[in-house]
Amino acid sequence: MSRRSRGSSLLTQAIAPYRTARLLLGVFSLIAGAAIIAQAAFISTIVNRVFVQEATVQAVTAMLAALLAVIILRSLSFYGNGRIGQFLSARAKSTIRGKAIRHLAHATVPASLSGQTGGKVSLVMDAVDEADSYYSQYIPRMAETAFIPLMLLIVVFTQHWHSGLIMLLTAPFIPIFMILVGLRTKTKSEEKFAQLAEFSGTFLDALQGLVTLKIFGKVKRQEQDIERSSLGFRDATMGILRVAFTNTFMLELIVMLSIGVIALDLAFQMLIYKTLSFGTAFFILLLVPEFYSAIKNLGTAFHSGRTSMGAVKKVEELLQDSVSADDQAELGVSEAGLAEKSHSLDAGPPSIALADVSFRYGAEGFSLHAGGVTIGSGEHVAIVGSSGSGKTTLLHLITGLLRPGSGELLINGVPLQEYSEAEWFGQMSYITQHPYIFSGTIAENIAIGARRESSREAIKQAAEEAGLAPLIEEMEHGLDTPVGEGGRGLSGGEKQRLALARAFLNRPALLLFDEPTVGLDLHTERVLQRSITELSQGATMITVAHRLHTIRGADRILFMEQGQLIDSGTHEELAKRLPQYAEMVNLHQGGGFR
Amino acid sequence: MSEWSVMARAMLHERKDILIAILCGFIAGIGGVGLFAASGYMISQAAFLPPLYTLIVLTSLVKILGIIRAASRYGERLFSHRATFSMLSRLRTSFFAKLAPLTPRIFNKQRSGDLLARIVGDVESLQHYFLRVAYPPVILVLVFLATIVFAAAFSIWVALLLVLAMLAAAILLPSLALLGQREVYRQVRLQRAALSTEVTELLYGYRDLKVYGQLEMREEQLQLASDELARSQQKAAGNLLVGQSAHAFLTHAVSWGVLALGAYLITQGELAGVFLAMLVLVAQTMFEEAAGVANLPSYKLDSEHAARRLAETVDEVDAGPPQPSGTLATEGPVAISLRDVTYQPDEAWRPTLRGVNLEIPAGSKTAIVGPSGAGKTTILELILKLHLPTHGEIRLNGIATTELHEESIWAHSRVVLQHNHFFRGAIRDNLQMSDASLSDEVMESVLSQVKLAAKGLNDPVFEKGENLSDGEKQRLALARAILKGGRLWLLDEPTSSLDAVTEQQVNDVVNTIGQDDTMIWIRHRLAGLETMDQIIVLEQGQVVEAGTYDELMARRGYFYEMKQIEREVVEGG
Repeated sequence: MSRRSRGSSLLTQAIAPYRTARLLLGVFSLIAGAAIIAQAAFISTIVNRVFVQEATVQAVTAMLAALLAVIILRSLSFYGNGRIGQFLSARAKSTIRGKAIRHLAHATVPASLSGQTGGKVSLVMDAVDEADSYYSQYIPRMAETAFIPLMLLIVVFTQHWHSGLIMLLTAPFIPIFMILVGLRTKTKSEEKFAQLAEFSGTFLDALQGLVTLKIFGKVKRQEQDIERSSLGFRDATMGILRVAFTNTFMLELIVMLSIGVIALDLAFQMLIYKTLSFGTAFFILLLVPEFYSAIKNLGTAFHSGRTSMGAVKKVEELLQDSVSADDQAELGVSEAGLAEKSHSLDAGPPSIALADVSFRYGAEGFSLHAGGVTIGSGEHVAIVGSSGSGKTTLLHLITGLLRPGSGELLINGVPLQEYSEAEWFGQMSYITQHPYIFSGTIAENIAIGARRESSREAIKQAAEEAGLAPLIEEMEHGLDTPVGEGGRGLSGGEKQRLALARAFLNRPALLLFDEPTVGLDLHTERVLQRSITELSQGATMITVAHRLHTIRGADRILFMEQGQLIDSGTHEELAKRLPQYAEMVNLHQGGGFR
Repeated sequence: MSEWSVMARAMLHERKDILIAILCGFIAGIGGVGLFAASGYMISQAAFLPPLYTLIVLTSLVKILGIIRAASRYGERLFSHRATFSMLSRLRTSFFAKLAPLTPRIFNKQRSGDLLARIVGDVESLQHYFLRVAYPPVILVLVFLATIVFAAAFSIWVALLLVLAMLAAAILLPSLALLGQREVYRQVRLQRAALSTEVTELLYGYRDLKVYGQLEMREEQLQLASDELARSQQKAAGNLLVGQSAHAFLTHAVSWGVLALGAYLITQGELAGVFLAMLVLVAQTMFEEAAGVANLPSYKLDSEHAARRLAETVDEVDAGPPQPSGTLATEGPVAISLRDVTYQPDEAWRPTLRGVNLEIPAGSKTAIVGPSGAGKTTILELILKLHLPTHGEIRLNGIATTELHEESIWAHSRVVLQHNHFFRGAIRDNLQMSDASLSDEVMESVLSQVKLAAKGLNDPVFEKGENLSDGEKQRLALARAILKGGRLWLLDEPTSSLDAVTEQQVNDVVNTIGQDDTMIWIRHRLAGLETMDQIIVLEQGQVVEAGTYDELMARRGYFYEMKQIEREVVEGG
């Protein structure tokens, strides 16, 4: 229950500032209620005058004009409420989506890596759009139902209490039925989504395996599978709808019978007891359907409102994720209050000291203990160890992308938190194994390496230094060739060189490099080797190393095993005193089977 | 395939349900109008103090009409939805069937996520077409006509007024609502797609953005785009609201018109007063029934868009020329030659293969090596005729692939792909793909040959083989290839996930079984190539070196250097 109330709190929070708009909703609803009553009153009076009292059309002209005015007023207030609902919806969606975007943009690196990207995008897009009907339907209808049925009921009671009583007694059945429908629909609709997920799964699976299926001549069989799960989805959908339709049927019967009973009662009152005039009876007969349809509308709106609540609850869950993630792995560098940072980073390669640093992913996840290490200014360090030993995690701790669970990271003797994030990252280039290529031109992709505006010349030069020149020449638009979503169209080696170009543009004081584990093309291998050497002149460099060449060339080697920093020293030292290291090097040096 | 023929054909299939739905809808509409007509008439009659039985007849009529209306409304909903969802289901299946011949070509154009979005999302939004655009107008026109005929029995002038109002509701208001709608809708769609892409990119490139200090700027852009989108959506929704409000106004205005006209006609003595209340209620009800008309154009627009996207998907991709009748000779291994083969996928800005010449004699063993993205897999796909070369030709036993029926090539090939598909079911089902009559003994012996003896034939296989490790999947795919006939082996990194020892053993088994056959191996690692008849080194779509292991090592060229680098790698990922 508490979850639910929190879910709706984001919905209500989002429109809290718009008091006037909500007030206007009430005002328009009052006007609409009054207009409905006036419309019924005018129609019944006019018919009464013309039909019973046999007045001429001229006698009722004024009243006809007034009726037209009332009708216009009613339509306008309906329109007004709709507009306010849409206004609230647009604002609220902006707010909620803004929160979600802000959350994603400020997430920690482990939080941003966890979970499915597709799911998060769908939350930001689809779940937020789902919130729409809460504001554009549910809230305006709520406001209307708060006034209109009550107003109608009071008027009917003043005219003829019998009918009022029937309305009062039958009205509660409608919300009760609506709730029943809602409850049963909820479980059914979960079933439906399960079916849809299964269908999507089967389809995607088949799509990806289509080549295998073709080669084995099994496409027909897969078609049958698709058909089966597609029909399963249809049946699940129909299951929900059947429930909904049956209940709607019952509802309509209730409404119909209630109207029928009231009509009959009116007729008897007029005919037998003669206590009712035609005008009043007709007036009531006009009001009764309006009464029921207002309540029914609320039910429909309530249904879509609940869908919105469910969707927004999902967004809330996303927002709450941050709390738990923050506790464990907040950024090493704080982003808030940049101006208050007391220390500015000295120019020149930084020295980095890990003071008893440890880290753990989640409560039970992989844990890392680095102990104490100092990397001197301008030193070149290689991190080695078998796969899964925590090399990249260590690199992330050093970059400040992860914050240590305990211990401290000292840069030039000062804790990392004392520096501003922008300044710290500005000094650094980090070449990952899989650099991300943003959709944009090659030039734009290189330019993000520097934090300032870069001249075209500088970008071109960086590209050349990174060995991209032949590639760029080959392309029709040169540096302005768009490289699409996720860098489609570039091979692994080309992406690496693009990342190198970013680093060349930045000329970092701290160079971090996650060496590729697989063989790239020879050209890229050569470029990487040469360029990294050049870039590392006068910079502190830390490499997650896989090449013997790199390891041998390092001033110092950090050896990782199962999350522990076991030893550090030069190649010769480690080869002498650390059997695991010697074994690792020897095993592969000889070539062996591999 | 035009988008409308897709839907027309689907509807033809469900014509019975659709007809029932239309009939029920008509009865429900008439019932509603009749219900209010009867109650209006009843109450007017009551003013004359008629005999009690008239009243009883009328009340019963009201009740019966109420029940009929509710029941037939139920029927309409049930049948129309059943028809609709059956049609959607059929559309999905036929979409897949159309897609099948287009793979893998289609993946050059569309990504599977997008295809999924189409088959699920677009097909789903077509329901609006069937439920709100296709036949509801038929029902409405029928109800309108019946009501107008009914009204004409009392006053021709009232009937005329209703005809005018009907035209306004059916033509004037929808086009009013549609005014500018097309543009707004397009904008919403574009903005939404753009925002979604940008959010995705923020997440995918998160670490890089963070390190390069771009997050703040990106966030700002996203917030702006999000606000823009909300504004456009508001605008689109505003248009809909105008349509709805205008229709609601029209409904009341018509009853006002009938009232005023009726009053005039009564004054003129052309209409009996007792019918006035009834006609007013009839007019009102008739238009309330038609409330959906106002939004019809926007649903139409939306479903047109969806239908076009669906039709496009299958249309855009050239299915290629029809398959020729040529077949590959059944006996003996296959000789392959590639002559000046260039292949460039339609949308790619550079070829994946350029000017490749290869001679692969019958019964020879060839290895293709090179960095990822060099075009190794493309060569296999071209041999399998999954694509046709952009330039040059490929001959199998001297016959160009353009002359061969694709299925005849497949029938003679034993293929292990990088990503092999496994059925949900048991190991047995996955091994019997080529031949359902394979005996358990044969299958078990092959399993043990590929070092999968630990797996029983009845062990379950989950979707995509999720419960198997990569190495197990590769060995299972190899077992499947061994069990399938054919004298041409095309193996795309079939053992890349195995440990060195198992890899060696499995390779030996495969080599023994296929010793007389033509074999092409794509290799990720450079070990164990000493026995190959030919090693082909590819880089960026071109053959940079070819020869035996000893020749290449002696040449100290590209292969030699790759070998050195591989030796250099101390520890892989």
